[in-house]
Amino acid sequence: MSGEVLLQATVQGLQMGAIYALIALSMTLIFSVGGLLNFAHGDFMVLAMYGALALYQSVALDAYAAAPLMFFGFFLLGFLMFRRLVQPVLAAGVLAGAQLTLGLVFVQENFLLMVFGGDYLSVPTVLSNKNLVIPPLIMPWPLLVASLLAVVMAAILYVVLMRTDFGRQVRAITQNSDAAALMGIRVGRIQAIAFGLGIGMLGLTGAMIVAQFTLTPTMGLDFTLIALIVMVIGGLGSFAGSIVAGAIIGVSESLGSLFYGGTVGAMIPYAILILVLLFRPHGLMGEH
Amino acid sequence: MREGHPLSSLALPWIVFLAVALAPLAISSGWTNIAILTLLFIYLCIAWNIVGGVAGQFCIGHSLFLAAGAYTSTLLSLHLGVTPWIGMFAGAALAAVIGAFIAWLSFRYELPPLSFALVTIALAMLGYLAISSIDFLGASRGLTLPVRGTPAMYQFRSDITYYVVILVHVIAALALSMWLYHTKIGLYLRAVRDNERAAHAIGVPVLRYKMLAMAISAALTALGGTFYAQYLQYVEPHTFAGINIVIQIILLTVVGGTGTVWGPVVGPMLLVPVGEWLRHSLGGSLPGVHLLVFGILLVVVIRFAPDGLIGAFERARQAWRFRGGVNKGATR
Amino acid sequence: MLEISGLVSGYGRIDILHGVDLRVGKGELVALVGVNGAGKTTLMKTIAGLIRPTAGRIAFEGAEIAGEGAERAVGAGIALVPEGRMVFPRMTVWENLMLGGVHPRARPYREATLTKVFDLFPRLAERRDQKAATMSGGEQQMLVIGRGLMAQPKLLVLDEPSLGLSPLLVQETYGALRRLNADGLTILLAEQNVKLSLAVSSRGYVIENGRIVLSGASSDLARDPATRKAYLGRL
Repeated sequence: MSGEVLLQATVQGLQMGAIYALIALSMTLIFSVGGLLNFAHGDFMVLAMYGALALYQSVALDAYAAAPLMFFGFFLLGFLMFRRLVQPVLAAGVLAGAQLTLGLVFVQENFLLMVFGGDYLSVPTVLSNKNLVIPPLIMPWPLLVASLLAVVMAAILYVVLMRTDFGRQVRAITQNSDAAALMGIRVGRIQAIAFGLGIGMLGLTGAMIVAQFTLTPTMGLDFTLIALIVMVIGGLGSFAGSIVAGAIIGVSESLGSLFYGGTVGAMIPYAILILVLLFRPHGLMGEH
Repeated sequence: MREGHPLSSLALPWIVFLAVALAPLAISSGWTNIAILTLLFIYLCIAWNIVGGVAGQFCIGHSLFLAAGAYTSTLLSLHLGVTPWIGMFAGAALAAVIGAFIAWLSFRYELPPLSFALVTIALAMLGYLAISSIDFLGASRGLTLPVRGTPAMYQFRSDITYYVVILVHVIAALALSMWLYHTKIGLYLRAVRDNERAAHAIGVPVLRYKMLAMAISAALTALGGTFYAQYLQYVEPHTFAGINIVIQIILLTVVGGTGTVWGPVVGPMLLVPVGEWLRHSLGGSLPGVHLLVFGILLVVVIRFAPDGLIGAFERARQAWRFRGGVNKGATR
Repeated sequence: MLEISGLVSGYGRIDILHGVDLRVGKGELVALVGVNGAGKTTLMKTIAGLIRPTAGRIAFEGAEIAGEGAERAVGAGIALVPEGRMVFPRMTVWENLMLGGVHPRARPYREATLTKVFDLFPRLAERRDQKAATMSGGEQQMLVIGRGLMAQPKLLVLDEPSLGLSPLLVQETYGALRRLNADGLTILLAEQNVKLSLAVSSRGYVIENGRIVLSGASSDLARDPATRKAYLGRL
C-alpha cells in the first residue's frame, strides 16, 4: 500500500467527512431545538437531489445554480411541516415523532420511486467528471467543491448560532425552554424557523453534492444513519464535536474500504456507533 | 388491569377475526397470496408488539431475528438435510439468545429509549452487511431452498396449506400475547414500560422480564422467518435482513396501536390487503405507489391518532359511554 | 397596577390555587409569604404567563392578561425571576443578559439597561464572559435579577430569591431590590423567609393551601401571631 494511495483515501475521507458533518449539524439543529429524531433526514436531502435532477431536465438549470432555490423551497417545506405535522405529533411524545419520520421515509422513497423509477440516475453539472490534480492527489471537482461549501455553510451556521440574537434564542431554547419563554421568546415560532433552517440546509446540501453521487430512491436511509452516527459520536449539541466526528467517520469509512473492502468499510461506522452509545453516551466531545 | 371482562367483549374480537381469517379459504385462490402475506405480517407484528408495545422497548433490530430463523433452518436443510420443522426451532433458539443479549445490553448500559432504538438499528445494519458479504450465507445473491416437495420438509403443493400453517401461527401467537397481556408477566412488562425506575423500586425484576420479553419476541419472529423462507423458497439479505421489513412491521403496529392485543392485528389486516391491491392494479404503471399510499396513510394516522386505530376506537367508545355528560363512576 | 381576582390555577387536573385575590399598586414592594407547596410558585408562574389559569382574572394596568402566555406578559411589562434561578447554563453572563432584553419592547434600550445592570451588580461585570453554569449560587441569582431587569419591566416578580444563598448574599440581593424599588420599580416578592420579606416590603399577603389567608401592612403582619400560626400550620 503506497503512501500516495493512503493519502488519497485520507483526503477523500476528510472531504466526505465534511459533508457528513454538515448533514449531522442540520440533524442536530432539528433534534435539539425541535425535539425530533428525524429518520427521514437523509431522504429530504435525496428529495432535493432529485429535485435538482428535475430542474436540470426541465429548464436546464445547473445543480449549483439551483442550490439557493432549493434552500428557500426546503426552508418553507420544513417550516410548514413543523407547524402542521411535527408539533402536533410531538405532543404525543418523542417516540411518536420518530415513528412519524419513519412514515415519512416510506412516503418519500416511494414517491421518488414512482416519479423517477428505480434505475440509477445521475445529474450532469458543470463540474462533473472533472478533476483537480495536485500531485500526488487526484481530486474530483464535485467532491472538492461540495466539501468546501460544506465547510463554508458550517461556518455560517456557527456565526448565526453564536453571534446573532436569533442564534442565541435558539440556543436558549435548547438549554432551558421554560426560561426562554420567560424572556418573552416565542418558542414555537423559533422552533419552526430552526426546523425550517435545518430542512433548508438539507435542500442546499443535496443540490451541492448531487454531482458526486448516483441517485437511487432508497439512498436516503444510508445518509440518515451516517448523520445519526456522526451526531451521536460528536455529542449532541456540540458544534466542534460534529465536525470532528464527521472527519473520523469519513476517514475510517474510506480507510476501512481501502484495507478491507467496501462492506467492512460500511460496517465500521455502525460498530463505532454501538460502542459510543454503550460506553460514552454523551459523545466524544459532548457536555455534562 | 384485570377487570372482569364480560365474556362477550373477550370473545367478540376473536369471532370477528376468525370469520375474516377463514373467509379466504372459501374464496378463489387469487386472494390466497395476499391473505398469506397479511397473516404473516399480523404474526410478525404481534411478535414485535410483545417487546415494542407491551414492554415499551422500541426495537428496530427484528430483522436479525427474522434472518436468524430463515437462514438457520435453510442452512440446516441445505447442508445437513434437517427438516425445517426442526430447523425452525434451532433458528428460534438462536434468535432468543441474540434477543436476550440485546436486552441485557440495554439494561446493563442503561440505554434510554432513543439510544436503544439506535443501537438496534446499528446491530440490524451490521447483520445485513455481514450476511451480504459472507459466501457461506449466500452473500447478496442469497440461497435457494432445495426442492424436496414433501410436507415433512415444510413444503406444500397448495398455497392453501401454507395459509393454514401461518393461520395456526397467528392464532398461537395471538393466544400467547393475550395470555401474556392479562397475566402477571404482562402487568410487569407494562409497568416497566411506563416507568422503569418505579417498577424497579417496587421490586419488579426488570432485567429478567426485559430479557424474557425480548427472547419470546425474537423466537416468534424467527419462526416467522422460517415460514417466509419456505414460502418464497429462497432467502436473501435484502428481504430478510434488511431494515425495510422491520420499518413496515413497526408502522403497521403503530397504526393499529402499540401495546394493545388487537392493534397488531388490525393494522396489517386493514393495510396489507389495500397495499397489495394497489400494487396489483397500479404497480405496473406507477412502481411503488402502493407503498406511497401506505406511507401517506401511516403519516395521517400517526398525526391524528398517535395511539393507533385501537386507541382511537377506545376513545370513541369512552366518549359514547359517557355521552350523558355524567361521569358514571369515574374517579378523578 | 396588578389586580388578581378569583384565580384558580394548577397543573393538569390538579388545582393548586383555589381562588386567589391579590393587588399590587404602582411603586409598591409587596411580599407574598407561605410555606413550600402553599402555591407561591404556581401563582408567580401564572402571573408571568407560563401557566394558564382555569378561572379568575389577572388585570395589569387595566388590561386582562390571564392565560395569554409569557410573551404577552413580557410585552405588558411583567418580568419573572423564577425559582431555582434558571440561568442558561452554557451561555455567558453577557449572553444571558442580552437574552433578557430580546423582546421587541426592551430591545431598543438594551445597551443602556446593560450598563445599569452592571452598575447595580459589579460582580456581573467582572464575569461578563463567564459561562453561567460555572458561577456560584449568589452570582447566578444576581444574574437572573439582572436578566429580568433587561426586559424593561414595570413589575418585577421574584420567586424565592433568597433560596440557597448565604446570609451575606441575601443582604446584598435585598439591598439591590430596595434600591430598585426606591428608584420606582414595582416589585412582587414571594418568599419562605417571612422576617426578611416583611421587613423590606410595605404590604404583604400570606398564602396557605392555595388561598390568601392574611393580608395587610407588612409591619402589622410581622407582629400578628396569626401570621406565625398560618405560616407554621396546624401542628
